[in-house]
Amino acid sequence: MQRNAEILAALLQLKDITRDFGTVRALDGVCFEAAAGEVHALLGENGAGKTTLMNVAFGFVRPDCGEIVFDGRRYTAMTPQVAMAAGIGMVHQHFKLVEEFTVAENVALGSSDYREALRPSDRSRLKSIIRATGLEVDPSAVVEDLPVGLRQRVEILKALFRGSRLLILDEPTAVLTPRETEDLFRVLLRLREQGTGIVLITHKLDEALSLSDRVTVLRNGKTVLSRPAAEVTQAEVASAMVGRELDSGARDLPTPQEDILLEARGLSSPETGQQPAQEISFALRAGEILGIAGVEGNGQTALADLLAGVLAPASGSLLLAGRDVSREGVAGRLRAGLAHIPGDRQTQALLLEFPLRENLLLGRWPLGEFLRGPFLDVGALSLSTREAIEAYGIRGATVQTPAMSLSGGNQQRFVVARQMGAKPRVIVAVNPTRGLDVGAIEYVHARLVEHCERGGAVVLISTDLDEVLALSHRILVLYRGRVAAEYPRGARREDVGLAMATGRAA
Amino acid sequence: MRERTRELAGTLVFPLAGLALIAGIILLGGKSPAQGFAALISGSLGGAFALAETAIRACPLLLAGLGVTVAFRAGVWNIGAEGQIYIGALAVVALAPALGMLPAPLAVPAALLVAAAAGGVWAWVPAFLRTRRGVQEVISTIMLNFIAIQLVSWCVHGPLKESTGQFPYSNEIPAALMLPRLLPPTRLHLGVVFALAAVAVVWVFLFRTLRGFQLRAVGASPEAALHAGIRTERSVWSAMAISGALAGIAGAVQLMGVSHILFEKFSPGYGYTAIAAALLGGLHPVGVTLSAGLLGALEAGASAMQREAGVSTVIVYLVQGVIILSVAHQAARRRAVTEAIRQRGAQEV
Repeated sequence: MQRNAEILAALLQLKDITRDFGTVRALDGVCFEAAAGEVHALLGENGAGKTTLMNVAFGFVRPDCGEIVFDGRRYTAMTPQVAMAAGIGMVHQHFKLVEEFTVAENVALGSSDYREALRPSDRSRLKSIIRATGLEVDPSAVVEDLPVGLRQRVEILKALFRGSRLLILDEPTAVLTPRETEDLFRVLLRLREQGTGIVLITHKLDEALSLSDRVTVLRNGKTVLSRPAAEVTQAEVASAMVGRELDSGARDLPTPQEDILLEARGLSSPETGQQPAQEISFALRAGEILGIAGVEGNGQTALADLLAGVLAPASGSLLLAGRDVSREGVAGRLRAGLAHIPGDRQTQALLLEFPLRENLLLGRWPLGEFLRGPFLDVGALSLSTREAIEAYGIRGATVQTPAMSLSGGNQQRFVVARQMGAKPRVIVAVNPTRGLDVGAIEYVHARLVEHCERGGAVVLISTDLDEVLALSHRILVLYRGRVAAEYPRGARREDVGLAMATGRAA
Repeated sequence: MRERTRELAGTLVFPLAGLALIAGIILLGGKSPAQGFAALISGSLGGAFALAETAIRACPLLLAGLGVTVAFRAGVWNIGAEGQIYIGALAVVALAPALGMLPAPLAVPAALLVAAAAGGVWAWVPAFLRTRRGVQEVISTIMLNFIAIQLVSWCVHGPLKESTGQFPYSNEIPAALMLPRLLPPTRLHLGVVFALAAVAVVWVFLFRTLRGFQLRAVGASPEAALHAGIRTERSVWSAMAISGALAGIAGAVQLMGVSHILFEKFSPGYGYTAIAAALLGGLHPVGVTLSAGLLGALEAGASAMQREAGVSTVIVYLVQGVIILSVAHQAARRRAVTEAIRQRGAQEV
């Protein structure tokens, strides 16, 4: 799929871009070029500056110094409006669509040709774009009825309709099923043939290398690698990203023992307005990691809440080491030996404005270890917090540091440290590495495996299929709230992906 | 450095503009701003008498402000301190004959307990409505203020009218219920000591007990609290009950320390000024102490300003208004900064 990056005319040139956020230098003299008819992958760990760099190109962030040249013109004050008018389109990670509007109405928003898109009889240009690119979507469909993959198409259509010749996509595959990802790539390749320049911000090495013509890696705000994709190996790029060699994907897992630690018997969640989980049954042995795969929105949240005790089951029961804990809440289950790592660390696991010391208390108060009568034992609390900070390598933090000022990776390390510190037998982890960089992912995975080696068990609910495949003894696929298929370790990625997308085992 | 300077300028611009505005208004009224401000300061800080006046005026603001602090920290918008003050005082007056028969050392604590219970129960109504019926407490607490004020008005015109039946106010409370004066001839009374003790108790509760932590956690992020197994409903209930109890005590202290009778307009809006005190004090017990002191000083100084410079006390409400606006302005700036940090974090993800 790769083409040799010949001398293509540079469409976008960023020259010596530097930008500070407070005392942090987010970008340090970065140069970047994107050409027409080329897919350029921009890789890097979290906080490496990839999104910031593209936000500079799109005018969201003004550089402290450096130069932006697009299509031969130099821009001193780039704004999103100017960028769009010049022909730069950006598809953000979080879509910016009006959900109540139709596809055509969303496309019309912010376009000078809005009338053309709005009138059903007069949509020839929109339709021809759809035909030419393969971005199949019904212009009259209302966005809130569309699945994520199609919403993304609407975002791309919006950009193309405005006449974008350079398309910047920020982590476009993070929310897609394997099938949707393939469709997206087909569209991108077609756009490339038609001469559109594409910048792909991504974490995922394999897709970056299979799809792109050129690869640029940022680390700590600096370019550490920029070469044609054909000339680099996956290992080279990975070590460029983290600055060291990594151990490869699949891990050695301990052999599970005989005794069952956690058993779900026909668990169903009550109606809460989101996709409920229905009749979930499984038995989890000591030393075992059970992966729950599925496309986002297939009942993961409900299942996680049922297991953690946030939701009381409508029917069914949950046994922890033989004891029925169905009626216990989060606190009771933690006391019984079940800890959970919620899916959204910023809103569910942490009090952002509170110091780490109190965030430790948030996750551990039911154990009563920090109480002296009715009062808090602040000394013991500080001690445990300091231990967690040191043991988990959360650099630069003290017990008084607010959770808000930690990076995403360190926030998650702290949450994992906190829950591990409760010495649970079973851990329910929901998307425990979402949005983390390679180093932090590796770290969290290692802790979960370690927990199993010590005879604990883990339920890993994750929408990242690679994570589930790499880490689970067994995989259950969740589809519309039910367990649709079960796979042993070593199952083929394609098979699990198909079950995720269709709800049927291959 | 430049940012620090700008920040400082941002902090000062509102109060300074406010002062200039007030000076202008005094001038328009044909009075001397300098004389007015001088009277304001000497009437609130100049000497033992002025300081005592400041303290007794700060007293209900502090107690009710602590109540508001507890509620706001828990994310419960209790605007009902005013009504809870009335109900606390009303309960003491209603039970005054019985309370007065207790031996003196027991009478005062018993009366404070009665007021706390009455205020707490009154505040518990909006908590019930919010947790069980989804009624916003901002609205229900305000509504209950009107009911409480009218209830007191009806009582002092009816069942609690003084014995001769001529005037619309209650009998004077029994001597056993009157708070002793600390520094005669000033009006400084024991209630000020109670208020300062409440500062310590509220601080310990909020920052050194599990229940207080849970309450703050619910206020900061109900979702995180839920995932940590904290019962959010119970937090709303206890926050409201404590908040109402403190406001109820504020009413009782005002009654037992200063007025000794209950009448219509018993509180000139202490419950609302207490909200300003709580916010101005950054919802921290020590901060609330300082802000209640400041607002108390303004009220004490206002009388002096009218007496000595002929400037209407209404000016002081202008000052308060300006202070509250500048606090709101500061809070909004802080929120904007926090939000910016959060969004930057979200973008990294």
